[in-house]
Formats: sequence, structure tokens, C-alpha cells
Amino acid sequence: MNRRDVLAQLRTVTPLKVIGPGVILILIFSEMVISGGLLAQSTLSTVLPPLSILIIIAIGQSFVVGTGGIDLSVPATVTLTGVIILKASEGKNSGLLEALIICAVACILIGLINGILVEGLRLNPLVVTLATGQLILGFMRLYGGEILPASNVPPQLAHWASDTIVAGVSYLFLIAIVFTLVGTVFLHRFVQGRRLVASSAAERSAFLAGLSARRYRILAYVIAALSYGLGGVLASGEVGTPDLTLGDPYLLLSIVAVVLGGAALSGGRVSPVATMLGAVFIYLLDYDLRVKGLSGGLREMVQGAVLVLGLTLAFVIQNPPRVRGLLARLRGSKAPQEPSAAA
Amino acid sequence: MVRKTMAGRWYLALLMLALVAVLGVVAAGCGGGGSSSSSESTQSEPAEEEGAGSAEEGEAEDASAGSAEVTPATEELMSKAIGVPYEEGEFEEVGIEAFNKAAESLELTPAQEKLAFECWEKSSCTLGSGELTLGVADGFGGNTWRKMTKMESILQAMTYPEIGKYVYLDAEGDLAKMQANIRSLSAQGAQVILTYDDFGTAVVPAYQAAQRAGAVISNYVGPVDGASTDALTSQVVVEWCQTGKTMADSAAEVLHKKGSIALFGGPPGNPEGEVWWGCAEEELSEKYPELSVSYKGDTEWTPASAAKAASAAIASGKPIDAILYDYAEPSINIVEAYEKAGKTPPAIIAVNQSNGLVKNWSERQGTKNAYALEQTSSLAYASRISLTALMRKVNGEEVPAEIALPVVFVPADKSQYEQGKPGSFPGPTVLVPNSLVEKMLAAG
Repeated sequence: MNRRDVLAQLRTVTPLKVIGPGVILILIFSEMVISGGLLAQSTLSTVLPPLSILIIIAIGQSFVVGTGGIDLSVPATVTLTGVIILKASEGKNSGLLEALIICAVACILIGLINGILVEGLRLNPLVVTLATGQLILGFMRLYGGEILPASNVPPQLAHWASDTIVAGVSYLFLIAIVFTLVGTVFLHRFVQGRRLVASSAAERSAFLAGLSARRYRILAYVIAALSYGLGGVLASGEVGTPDLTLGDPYLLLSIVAVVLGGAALSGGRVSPVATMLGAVFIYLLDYDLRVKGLSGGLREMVQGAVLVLGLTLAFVIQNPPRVRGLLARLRGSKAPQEPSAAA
Repeated sequence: MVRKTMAGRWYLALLMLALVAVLGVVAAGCGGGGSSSSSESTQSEPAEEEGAGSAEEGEAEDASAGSAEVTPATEELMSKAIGVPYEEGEFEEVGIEAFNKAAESLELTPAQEKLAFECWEKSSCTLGSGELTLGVADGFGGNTWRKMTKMESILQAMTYPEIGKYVYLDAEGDLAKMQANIRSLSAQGAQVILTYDDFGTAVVPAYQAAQRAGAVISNYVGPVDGASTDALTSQVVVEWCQTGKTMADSAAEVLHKKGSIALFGGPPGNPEGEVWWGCAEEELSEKYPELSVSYKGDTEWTPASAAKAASAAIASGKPIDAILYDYAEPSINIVEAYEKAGKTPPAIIAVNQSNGLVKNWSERQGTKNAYALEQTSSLAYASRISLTALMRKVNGEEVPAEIALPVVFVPADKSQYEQGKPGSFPGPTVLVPNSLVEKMLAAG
């Protein structure tokens, strides 16, 4: 790669180049303006565990967004894993392994149902995942019974999920980092991963290239559900007493994180690292507003505004010719010709 | 053209299938209902044989006539319900009558216990041979507190021979479902409706329509501000302003009238929170000049949101010696957030009661993370007072539009912990016989 190529690459705006500095800015803002103790052990120990869970769930959501869908079954899947952990283990360490296996099987089934209905039968992803979420909630009530036999997760899970490695950095954060890296390596370095990306971003082209694109797109739903399951298990351990609201916070936040990571909701390439940074950004923003004592209503407004801003930025980054045309038209000059759909 | 015709046929076939499915569901529902009612009547037979049916206990009017006299048994029960010895005047006449009825309801024959348990497991059952249908519309029936409240209402209903059918509908936290449930209860002929309203005034039009259709409705614990008696015949509620003041007084006692306090509430903008926060602050500024509110945090009354709020409170760097919170159960997560941050948890003064929180408190006594804890009663008995108030109304008596529940903060005690019961169990102030509680917990 010569010097010109390097310079050209530097000049190209990518989602990572936008969200990366954004995260650095908000880190500085949080540390210097808001609390002055963001990196203190006491803060890291309470902030990193829920952030790590959000990262894992958001990366799962990004696999679905990559196919052009949105998964609305996130809260139900996360909550279901909490109920399975309580019900199958009855709060005992001896039942934890069985509970984890049931969680994995349940998540694979959920992913397959979503994937087959959306990709196999070509049903609308929003409607399908919304309906699946309702099915899961109904099933959960039947499976959980009137009153769950335990309200605390097995002590081993709770202890491990709240334990720290060093200076307030928890094992959960380590898992989130590893999960992000594994996701990135899988998508960029493994044949199956690259086929998954190709099938998600350009299904027709992938099909014409001989790939069974539909299968890969169904796989995206299965990976997503397994990610929610992992997030749900960790969230259960972190909270200690999961209830029927365990998954509620992760629907909007996971979508916002993916959008801030530069993904287009119409589908295309997604980056686990950018999604992770998107999650860090939105979580820290919410955290800052909480520390300042701002009301929940205002925090929700800010999250909504950030989602809109993120979508606009993603559009700007991914469609520079159209944006240039729009600007030219606004200035009153002749707009440059838009590239055709085929191009 | 051919494709269009084919598609049209497919749609037609799908439509037919959907219609058949809907008809099947309706038929199954009717059949189920039929079989359910037949099984219910079969179930009520042995109960009646063994004296469970209230009709045997004499004339209906005599059996249902309540007394507002405080007997030693009633006093003992009231003390159990509020967690401290009963003091005269803490309950109004209708409250005392409700406890007299509750005392009756606790002496269960095995057949009555079986009937109560089976009814609790279902959404509809027959409790006796009376003509009245009792409907319960629960805003969110998914936690142990609500399950206990459901049983309290069943047990109380069994003391009224006028009540025949019992119908319980859970809105699962969905406002539209709650409105539909009220309408459905009215359509099913429920003349007496109890409700735990999680949605506030949004359900008022549905209440009004149901009352216009002839029902009487009472909500318990959560007030519906501004609802007149054409919507709710009676409200059995916590007076949140007074509760805020009592919480401030309790905090002053725990902190020896000096220190900083954080206020934790439910979802942002919920009416209860705004009221009690304001009154607690007012009480502090009027009576305790050396006590101040240093932080306010919203939660969704869930474990995760309580932990987040605690984390932000810690990071704010503001001093916090006590946290006043209007829901006890998620307070465990507040304590754990402090421990994770390597800080000693502040005193917790919380409304409601949680078995898990008492356990948590108890385990930390004598350690560096020991903290002070004060809780109120579980208030699970409130549905009993609601029902008694409505039965009075049905029998032509006047009932107060608002009945206040006494809210007393009691310092935690190891005896409050009920071993073997889950953390979500609301504690010893629940007025359900232990043998029945054990069955309910085992049914999970």
C-alpha cells in the first residue's frame, strides 16, 4: 500500500472513525466534568458489569440488523434465561450446568424459529420477532409456574458475575471484550464468517455466487439469540434475583448501540468493535445523566435523540454522494448525478 | 394473471384456515369453560359436604353481616398484619370488619384449603353457591406479592356466602389489557370488582363504564388520584404524603437527626413518588435542619434499575447516610452495589417487606457491611379490606371513598426472616395460613 492509498484510507469516513472519538470524548467528559471518579474502583465495579451485558446483547442484535431486520424478541429471550436459571437450578450450584444447557437449547430454538419465519417464509422481521417475544413470555409463565421455587440464582453464578479481576474490572467485562474480539475475528478471518457477512449484506449476490445465503441469514438469528442468552445468564448472575423485567432495558439500548456503531437499519456490514463502542457511548451517556440526577424521562429523550442522530450519521457516512447532492441542491447549484441503483 | 389467481386462492385458503382456527379456539374455550365449571362444581361439592360451602352456615345475610368489634383474635391478626402491636384507631370500622372476616377465613377445613388452593391456581372458579361474581383485575400478577394478594382475596371471599364465582384476570403490565380486563369482568357479570391499578387514571373510563353497568369497584394499595366514586366506589390505599413524612421521621431516628439522605422512587413521573418525595423533603426541612436530601434516583422498581441508581448515587460522590425507597425488594441490589464499590451500605428505610432483604440484612450484622433496615408491613391484606368495603356497599351500607392503610416502619429483626421461603416472599405479615403458603410455594 503506497502513501496515497494510506492517505485516501485515512480520509475515508468509517463508523469506527466516528464512534471511536465519540467514546473518547464522552470518557473525558464523564471523568472530568460529571463525576471525577469514573475510573475509580468503586465506579468501575458497578458500571462495567451492566455495560458488559449490554455489549454482548448489542452485538447479537447487530447480527440481525446486518440482515436488514430488527429483533424485538430481545427482552423476552433475556428474561427467559433468567427464569430458566431460577427454575432449573432451584437456586443451587448443582443445578447450574443443567440450567445453562437448557438456556442454550432454548436460545437456539428461538433463533431458529425467528430465522426460519423471517428468512425461510419471508415474513416481516418486526412482526415475527414481536410475536416470538409474546410466545416466549406466554411460555415463560407456564414454565415458571405461579411462584418460582427460588428467587436467587445459584451462589456460584452470583459470586462469579460480581467478582472482579483487578481494580474494579469484572470478569463480565473480560467476557464482553473476548466476545467482541471473537466476533470480529469470526466475521473477518473465517470463511463461514465472511460468507455470513456476504449473505447478510448482499443476499442476491451471495446466492448468485453459490452460497446458501438463506441458511447463513438464519444462522445470524441463531447467533443473535445465543448472544441474548449469554447476556441473560450474565445479567441473572449480576442482579442475583432476576425477575420478569430482567430483559426490559435491553431492547432500545441494543438497537441504539448498533446504530451508533454505524449499522444501517436496512442491512449491510456491521462491526462488533463499533457496536461495542456504541454500547459504551450510550451507556456512559445514560450514566452521566443519572449521576447528575436528571429524571428518567429526560434520559429517555436523550436516548431517542441519540438514536436519531446516530441514524443520520450512519446515513451520511454510507451515502456521501447523496449527501453531497443534497447539500449542492440546498446551495442552489446543480446537484451531481446520483449513482444508479445498479452501481 | 395465473399467479394472481393462485395467490388469491392461497389467501382464501389461509383465511378459511384462520377462521376454522378461531372457531376451534372459541369452541375449546366454551368447552373448557363448560368442563371447568362442571369440574368446579364437582370440586365445590365435597367442600359443601364438609362445611366448606358457606351456604350451610345459615342464612346468607346473617353469615355475611360483619362486625366492627375488636376481639382479641382480631387484634392479634391486625398486629400481625401491620407488624407491630395494634393501636386503637389505626383501622377504620370497615378495616376492623375486614379483619374479623379475615380471622374467620383462617380457620380452614382441609376441604376449604383444597378449594382455596385450586381456585388460586386457576383464573376462574366457583367458591360457593352465592349469586355474586367477584372479579379481580390485577395490573401485573407476575410477582410473589401479587400471588399472595390473590390468595388473600380468595380467602376473604370464602367468608361471604353471597359470592359464588371468582374470576381473576392479569393485565401483565399492559394498560390496554387492563382496560379490556375491566370491560371483560363487567361483561362476565362481575358485580364486585377488586383491582390493583398499576396505570393510574388511564383506567378510569373503564371503571366508570363497569360501574355504570352495575358493578362496584375498589382498588387497593396504589391510589388512583382524582378518581371519583363514579369510577371507584372505594379506594384502600397508602397515604403517600403521610408515608413520606413517616419515612423522614424514621430516617431522623436512625441517623440521630443528622446526615444526608437519598430518595429512590419508581418509574420517572409516577404519581406516588412525586407525592412522597415532596412530603419527605418538607418534613425534613421543617423538623430536622441537620438532615438534607443529597440525591434522588429513579428506578423501575426492578433489581437491575435499583442497582444502576445506586451505582450513579455512589459515583455522584454525594454523601448518603440513608436511602428512603418505596419498594423494599430491590433494595438488596442497592446494598450489593455498595458492597461492589467497596463501601458500607447506608441505612435503608423501605415500604413493603421482603424476606430476601431481611436475610441480606441479617447476614451482614456484625460485619463491616452491617446496615440499618426499617420496613413496613407487606400490606398484602389490603385486598381483604377492599372486598369487605364492597360487600358492605352491596348490602346497602355506605362506605368511605378512601380508606387509609396504616404505614408503620419497623426496625428489621432476625425473627422476620422466614427460612425456607424465597427472597421474594413478602414476610410474616401475610395473612395466609402457613400450610397454604407452603403449598403455593411448592406449586411453582
